[in-house]
Order: sequence, then C-alpha cells, then structure tokens
Amino acid sequence: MRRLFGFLRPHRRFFIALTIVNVLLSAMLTIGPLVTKAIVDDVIGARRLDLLLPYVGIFLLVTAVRTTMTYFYSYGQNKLGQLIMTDVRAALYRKMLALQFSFYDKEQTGRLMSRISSDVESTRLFLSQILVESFSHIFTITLASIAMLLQDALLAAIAIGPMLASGFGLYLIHKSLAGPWSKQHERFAKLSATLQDSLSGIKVVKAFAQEAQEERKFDDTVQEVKAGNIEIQDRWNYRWMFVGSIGRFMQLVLFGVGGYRVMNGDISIGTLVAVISLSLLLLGAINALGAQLTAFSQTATASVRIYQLLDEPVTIRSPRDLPASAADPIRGEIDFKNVSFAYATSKASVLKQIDLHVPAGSSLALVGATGSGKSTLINLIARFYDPSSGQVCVDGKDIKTLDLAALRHQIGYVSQDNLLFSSSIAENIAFGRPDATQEEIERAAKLAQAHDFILKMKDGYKTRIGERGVGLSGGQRQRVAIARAILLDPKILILDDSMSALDAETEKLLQAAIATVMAGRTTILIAHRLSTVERADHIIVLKEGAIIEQGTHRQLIQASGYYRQVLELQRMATTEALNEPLDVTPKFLPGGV
Amino acid sequence: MLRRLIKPVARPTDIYAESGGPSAPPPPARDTLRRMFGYLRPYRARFVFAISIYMACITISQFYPYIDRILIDDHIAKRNPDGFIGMLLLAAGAHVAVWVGVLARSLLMSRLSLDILVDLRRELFHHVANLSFNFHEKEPVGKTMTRFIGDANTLNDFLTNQMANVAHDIMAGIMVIALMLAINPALTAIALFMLPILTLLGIYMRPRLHEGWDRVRENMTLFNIFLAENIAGMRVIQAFVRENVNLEQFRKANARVVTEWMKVISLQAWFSPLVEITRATALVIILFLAARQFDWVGGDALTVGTLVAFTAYISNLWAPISTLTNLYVVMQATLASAEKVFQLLDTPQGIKDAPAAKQLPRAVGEVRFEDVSFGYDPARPVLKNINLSIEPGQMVALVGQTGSGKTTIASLVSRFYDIQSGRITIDGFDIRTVTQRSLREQVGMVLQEPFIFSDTIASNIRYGRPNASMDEVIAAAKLANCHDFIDKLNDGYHTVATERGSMFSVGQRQLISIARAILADPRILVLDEATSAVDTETEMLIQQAFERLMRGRTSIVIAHRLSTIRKADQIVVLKDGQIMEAGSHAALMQRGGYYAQLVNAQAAGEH
Repeated sequence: MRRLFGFLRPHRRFFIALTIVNVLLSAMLTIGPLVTKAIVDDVIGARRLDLLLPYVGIFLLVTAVRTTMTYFYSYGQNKLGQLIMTDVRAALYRKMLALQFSFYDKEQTGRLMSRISSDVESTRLFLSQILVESFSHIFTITLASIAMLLQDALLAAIAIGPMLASGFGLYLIHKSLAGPWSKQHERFAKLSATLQDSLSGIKVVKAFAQEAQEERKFDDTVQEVKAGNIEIQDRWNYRWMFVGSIGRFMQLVLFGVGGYRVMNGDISIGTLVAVISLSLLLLGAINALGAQLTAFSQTATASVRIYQLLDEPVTIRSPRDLPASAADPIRGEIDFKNVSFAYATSKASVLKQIDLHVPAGSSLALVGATGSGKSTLINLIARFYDPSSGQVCVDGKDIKTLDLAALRHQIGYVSQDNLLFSSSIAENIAFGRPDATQEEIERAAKLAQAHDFILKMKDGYKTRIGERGVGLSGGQRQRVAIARAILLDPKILILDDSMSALDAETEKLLQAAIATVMAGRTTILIAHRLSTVERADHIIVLKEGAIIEQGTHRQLIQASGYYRQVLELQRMATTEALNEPLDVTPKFLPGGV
Repeated sequence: MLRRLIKPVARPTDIYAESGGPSAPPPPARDTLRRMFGYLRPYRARFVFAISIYMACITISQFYPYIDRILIDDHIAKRNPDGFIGMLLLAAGAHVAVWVGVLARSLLMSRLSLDILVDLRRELFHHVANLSFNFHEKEPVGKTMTRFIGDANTLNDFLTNQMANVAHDIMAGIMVIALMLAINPALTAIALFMLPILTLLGIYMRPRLHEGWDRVRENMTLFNIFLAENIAGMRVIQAFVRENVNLEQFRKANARVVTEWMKVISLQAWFSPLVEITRATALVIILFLAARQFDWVGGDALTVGTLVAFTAYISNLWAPISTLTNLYVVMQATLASAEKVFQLLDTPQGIKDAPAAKQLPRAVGEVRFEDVSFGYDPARPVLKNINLSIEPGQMVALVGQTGSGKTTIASLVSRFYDIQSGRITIDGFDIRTVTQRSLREQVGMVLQEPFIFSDTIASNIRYGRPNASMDEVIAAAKLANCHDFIDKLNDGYHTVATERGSMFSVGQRQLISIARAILADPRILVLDEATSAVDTETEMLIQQAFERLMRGRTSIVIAHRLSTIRKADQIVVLKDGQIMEAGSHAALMQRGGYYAQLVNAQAAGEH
C-alpha cells in the first residue's frame, strides 16, 4: 500500500492542489445550509426584505465557487488519474520489454494483459478517485459535523447514530458481496469458456451429432449465472432496504424532535432546516465513505500484482561498465564452452555440457527430435537465455560481457512461429530497422523469394496483414520472416525450423537464395530437409541435450551411426509424403515429444 | 508509424463488418423495436405488475417534500402541535410502504430481466448450434460470442432497466410538476423556465459525450490490441532489438487514449456545474418574487415550507430530463445491438431435415456418389460430376493436391453441405431423405486437427456416446493406444483437459480423437490424416490405432502418407474437383498416369 502511494509522488503538487479544491468544495457544501438558514430566519421569518439582496448575493457566490470547484475537481481528478495510469502502464511496459524469455515461458498473455489493463485501472481509480474522494468525504464529514453541533447539539447527537449505522451498514453490504461477486465472475468466465469451446469445436459437435448435448451444457452455465445473479441481487436488495431507508427516517425524527424544539422556542426554524440539510449532506458523505472502504482491500490486491511484476528480476541485461569495444562489429565466430542449460520450470537439463566451435562464416546444421535441445541451443546465441553453466562466446568473448542490443542487432533470427505484427508487409520486413528504405526492403524480400507474391497482393508492400482475414499462408509468413532477418544484414543468421511450410519449388529457390545470403555469415540452422542438412559445413546430432554425433553429411553417413540409421528408417517406412512436402527431422528420431 | 500501425482496425464495431456477407439493408427501427419487445411478451403480466408497483412508489415518494412543507408551515412555523405526530407517522408509514414496494419491484424486475436474458441466450445457442458449416467457417468465434454476451446484455438492459427508468422519469416528472402546481402555480410557472434550458443542455451535451466516450473506447481497444500483440510477440521484439521503437509506439497509443479521455472530461466537467447554476438561478428568482409578495404569486407565498419543498422539487426535475435526453443515445446503441442479434437469429439454417425424414437404419456401409457437383459458392464448383462407389468395408484413399477437393468430398458424406446436383446415397438411401442425426451417428469423423473439449478425458472420449460406461471408455482408449498416457495422468480419465487440449501433444490429441471415434462405433469413417510432425514412435501408434478403427468399417481417408495410400482398396486421384483416375496402387502405378507421376516426382525430389 505504501508503495502504491509512490505513484503519487511525482504528482504530489497536483494532488495537493486537488486536495485544496476539495477542502473548498466541502466548505462551500457546508456553508450552503447556513445561508439558507439566514434566509429562512431573517428574510422569511423576520421579514427583513432589505437583507434579501445581500443574502441571495452570498448564496449565488457560494454556488458559483462551489460549481467552479466542482469543475476543477472533476477535471483535475481525471487528469491526475490519467497521469498516474500513464506512469504505471509505462513502468509495466518497460519492465515487460526488459524481461527475459524465461519470464514469458511461464506467463500467459492474457494474465499480463490484465496486469496492464484492469489492475492499472483499479490503481488509477483508487489513487485519483477513491483516495481523493475519501479525503473530500472526510472534510465534508468534519466540517458538516462541526456546523451541525454549533447549530444544535441535541439534534446533532440524535442524527449521529443512524448516520454511522448507515455508513457501517453499507460497508458491511459491500463487504458481504465481495465473495459472491468474485464467484459470479468465475461463473461468467465458465459461461464464456463453455460457449467458446462449443463454437470452436463445432465441427466435432456436428460430426458426432451432439448439438443437443452442447445445448444442455450451455444451458447449465446460463442457469448457474442466473442463479448467481439472483443471489447477489437479492442479497443487495434485502439489505439495502434497511440501510437505504435510514436517511428518510432520520430526517423525520429530526423533524419531530426539532419541530418540538422550534415550537418550544429553543431553536429557530432556520436552524432546523439547516440541521436537516446538513444531516443529509453528512449522511451522503458517510455512506460514500462506507461504500469506498471495501475498495481499499481490492486495490491492495491489484497493486500487489502490479508490484510483483515490477519486482520481477531482469536477469539478462548488458553488464554495467561496458568497455567501448563491447558494441564493436563482430566477425561471427561462435563457441560453446561446456554449456549446460535447464529451464527454470523443470529440473532436467535440456543441454548437457555442450562444446561447440563454429568458425566465422561457416554453416552448422542441428538435427534431432523434438525436445532434443536444438531450439534451446540456438536461443543461447542471441542470449535469450543464459546458460546454467559454461560459456557462450562470440569472437572469443563471453556474450555476457557484450552489449546486448549490439549483439542482437548483428544476429538475424528466424523463429519457429514466424510471428508477424498487424501492420504492412513493408513495416514487418523493416521490423528490425524501421529506417530501411523501400529499395532495401525489396532487396531483402527478393532474396527471401517473397517479392513476387507480395507484388501480387492488393496493396503490394503496403498490404496490411493480420487483420480482417488478410492472412498469409504459412509459407508466405516464413518468407516474410526470413526477409525480416536478412534486412538486418546480420553477421550471424539463425534459422529455426524455417522452411517447413514451403512447397518444393519455393524451397529450392529459397535455398539458392539462402546460399547466397549465407556467404560471409555464420549460419546456424535447424534443418528440416535432407538437402539443407547435406549442404551445411558441419552437422551435429542432438539427443536428449547432448551431441551424439557430428561431422559433415558424408562423414556421418559413413559413420553408420545414429544419423544414418534414422535416415534409412525414414526413407524406408513411414513418411514419404505424397501431397505434402517431406518433413524429415522431427519424425526421424524415435522417442521425441 | 503508430497511426499506420493501428489505424485500419478503426472502429472496433466494424472489425467484422465485412464478414457479414451480402447484408440486407437494416430493417426499420420500428420493426426491430417491436421484435425486441416480443421478448417481454411471455412475462408481460409480471412486467406490468412490477412497473405498477414502481409507479405507486414513485407517486408516493414525490409527496415527501409536500409533506415536509406541511410539517414546516402548518405545524412547526405555526407552533401547532395538533396532528404533528400524526403527520410524522403518516410520513414514516408512506416511507415504509415505498421501501417495501421498491424491494418488491427490485426482486420482480431482477428475476424478469434474468429470465429474458436466459431466453435470449438459449435461443441464440439453439440457433447457432444448428447453423451449417457455411456459417461457422465464415464467422469468427469471437464475433458470435459478442452476440451472446455484450449484445444480449444491451438488449435485455434496455427492455427491463431502461424501460423502468423511463417509466420512473415520466412519472416523477408529472408528479413533481403537479405537486408544485398544487403548492403555488405562479411560482411553478416561473420555476419551469429552467426546463427548456436543461433540455437544451441535455440535447447538446449527451450525444457529444456519448461520441466522446465512444472514441475513448475505440482508442482503448486499439491500445489493447497493440499491447496484446506486443506481449505475444515480445520474443521477436527483443530478438530484433525493437524495445525503444515499440516503447515510443506504446507512449503514443497511450497518449491518444489520454487525449481523448481528457477531451470528453473537459466537456463533461461542465455538466453538473451548469445544471447547478440553472437550479440556483431558478431558486433565487422564486425567492425574489415570493419576497415581493406580488398578488399574482399568491400574496404571502414565501413560507419556509414552500422554499424547502421547491428546493427539493427543482432538484428532482433534473433527473427525468437527464435520462430522457439520454434515451435517444441509449436507443441507438440498443438498436444496433438488437439488429446484430436478430441478424444472427435470421441466418437461415442451410441444412435442414426433410419434412418426412426417416431414421437411417443401421448401415451396412455402401456409399455412392452419383454425378455429384458442388461448390461452396454455387457459381464456382469445387467438385464436378463425381461418380464414386464404395463397397461396404472398403477403404478408399483420396489423393490430390491442396484444393483438389479431397476435404470437400469427405464433408459431403456427413452432409455438412448440400450438393447442387447429383445424389449421395448410403445403402441406397439418399442422405437428404434421412435425419441428420441418424446419418451423423453412423458417419464418424477424425479431423486433421483434433479438437479436445475442456472437459474430462473420459467425457471427451465418450463424446459421441455420452452414456458409454467407464469400461467401454477404457476399452476404446486401449484400442486407440492412448490408455497408457492417460493412465499416467494424476487424475487419469477424470483429468480435465486444458483449453483445446493444449496439455497434450498433437499426436496424443490425435489418439484421443481416435478413441472417441472408436467408441462412437460408426459404420462409415471419414479420416483426415494429419500432416503435422509427430515423432516416429507416436506415428506408429497412430497408424496402428487407425487400422484398428477402420477394421470392419467403410472408410474414406484423406491420405498424405504413401504407406497409408498403399493399403487402400481403392485410390481416388483428384485434380481440380474431378476424378483423374481410380484403382489400386499397383494398378495405378502400372497405368503410368497422373498418380504414377506424382509418386515418382515425389520420390525423385527427395533424393
């Protein structure tokens, strides 16, 4: 909670100004009934019409100040809220940009989204609205109580009990509803999930003629939501019936007691009128405060979640005192020295004591079943993860000593999922170099065999992807992703499973292109096709995180080892595809997945 | 950059606008409204009852300032205790009555509203579940879900809450003016000068505020899309060292939200001050006129009670005007939602059982395509004059390149689409003359991308036969080679699958879906062989499971693997929607036609 207020600090002047506005507002709200009292007693009661003008003047003045303050208050309160929200969001987003891959391995997008949207929203509401308003209510309560006591202590004493009961009652109602509400959210989430499940799986539903069963399932969740809603609404209605009616009863009691006091001449009729309107003002403030108290605990949980994220340690970052040479251009020589690696989520090592030397400008193919550690190995080169032990070196220097951004700038990375962003194709290709010219973009696209199909699209390079069904096929996405990496003109090129979705012809073209691109670069590829594997300067076969065989294609065939066995098994038996391109690697090592 | 990055998504409301197909012009608002109110019809007695109670409560509660005035003027000011207690008790009694009434109305209304919502959601689901593949392939799930959640809520809220509010405001407005007139007609006439001002204020402000908040929401949506994509693509952002560029984009997207927000606020913040000032002015004028004791205001009109009552009534006048000026805006939004809901409900159910549809008797399994032509768009046929005859128990492999029509043939057997000409028969029954249910119960399908429901594994396996016993489920799982890995799960068959079965590998999902088909025990099988990569061991398990599944059934396989194709009794080679050739592997190879070419080319390409 204290740290939450930290977000207020940069805007404390603003907050103080807003508080002053609030004090003035409360003061004006309290003065209002007193002016009414003066009018009632002096003008109406004593018939001093000469006082009418000055009193009305004061009344209008109070109203003018009050409404001006109302304006400043609502404007300022929103402004403060937006300022805070911007700060918190930016802090969270910066944190997310800095966090390493291992963090994203365990977090879901949806959960992170709700950190930055709903949790930030409740922080904003709390700091700019609930907190400021609570102050405002406290001022109003203080001032109005004093004014009421000064008017008539007896009436004030009578009113205080019901008012506290009302505020406390409201607090209790809100508190008692918190549990049912969160259960109701769950029920509703279940309804959505059921609906989504049925609609996404509609083919299976229809193929098995189970529409009626799905309808029953959906109906159950709909009924559950309904029952939950009724429970909450009933609870609220029954309780609110008592709390909500306190105000009017209090007013009538004040009329009764106050009325007799006026008749006895103890107080003036103006005092009674003033006390009644003050009591209503007070009641409103106390009720609002009571309702807001529950928000404190809800905000606390939201802010805990925000801080959990902000406190997440950034483990992969450039070292502090970088020598100027840390950002030098690299040649592209890669060494793995006794590298072992385990993901944080499991104890098992994914890589075991890997030693590897890739000379600058040469190519290396990685072969192995799913789970053998290929992707992990290449992820270590751009320092997406740090090894658990051992060293990864580029040009003989431990990459931990290099400038991270400079290192990654020189590595072209084509990932397995070929994720593109919803913007134009040109922008996607220029992703790593937003300043690239159209010529550069087209050159990269040509090399990646993407130019032709891009030109065939409606808006050419300006065609937007990822929305309204303007989709690319898997093979097209891959080529755009390859162009994106080529444009960087990297010294090291990493191709992870990059050609699996291409048809045979495109693949041949692309391979020729890549052969050109590879010249002068260190290339590491997770090979999917025999022909690609064959061409690499060096091949390593991974099994369960260890290198079990390595050499050139020829050497490996001659060695009659695992590589050859599997290859033959593959040719012989299962996966000679007819309709789809042959996909060798992931299948040919038994025991994967 | 950012502008370009996110602009075309534009108004979140038209994200899906284009996918609606050839949309008819929207029906007149009156028809839409009438249809909306149709949902109220089954509950009209309850609705009228609830509203009547509510009206009574409003009527009574508007008397409060009137009673207060009597208390002040007749008793307190005149120091007349006679009947004072009685008046107080009357006031208290009225209040008790109002609160009991309000409670009753709330209880009635909340149930009524939920009943309508349930009706609407059920109707939507029933309709959507029975819509044909044509619909489901075109419409994104998210869009359809919006109809169930957001739009259904809006519609329901209008029918119940908004209607009640309108009733409240009209009633309250009438009562306030009537009671003010009863107190002092002349002062009332003067107080009402603020009505047009407030109305104009409402008419001016409301639509602008509404538009403003719409813009805020749009920008929020864009911001959220940006963010979701950034979080999902964080690895690529880091790999390409785009942190600074994206941070800048983030700031701009956020700044747009803030700017729009503050724009609305600077307008909205004037709202209540202006209303306040109008009210205060009205009060001051009344005070002056009453104090002057003009004859036309009733001489000695200025009493404390009148002042108190008028202050209250003038405040009470604002709420009705505020809501009524907002009604138009709310109605526009509601009509928009209602039209979308009704459009969905009006989507024709493409495939229906014939009026005299019979049950398909337990099939032997003979499948015939007689001169079948079909196109998803009738103008562009995907299948042309297909003739195909499959004997009971035969295995047929459909072979051909992407787009040649393999998948289409497979989906026609289950009648997921109706053909444009020709006939498809099972055991001689035209499939259009039997019920869809009896047909699909006998035609099993294993899809290329197996879908696992977020339910227990057991429920997933017994999906096609919900009443199957646990022993049957296990037997099917054993045949499908998935018993072993299911058994190893913590809760075994009672393990609840994560969304779409993401906890399982592709191969495992495939095995579960085979178990599902085995348990459903169809006479005819349609298999879409998976192309996705599975390791050799799982691959063998799948092949074995497939073989067990096909035993004794007619099966149509969309084959990708040569090993599968070789085993087929009949290979049907498709090209551009036509059958090029058909026969056994040996026969086709000998023939040296298209098939032989394909096989040879494939083999050559790999060596």
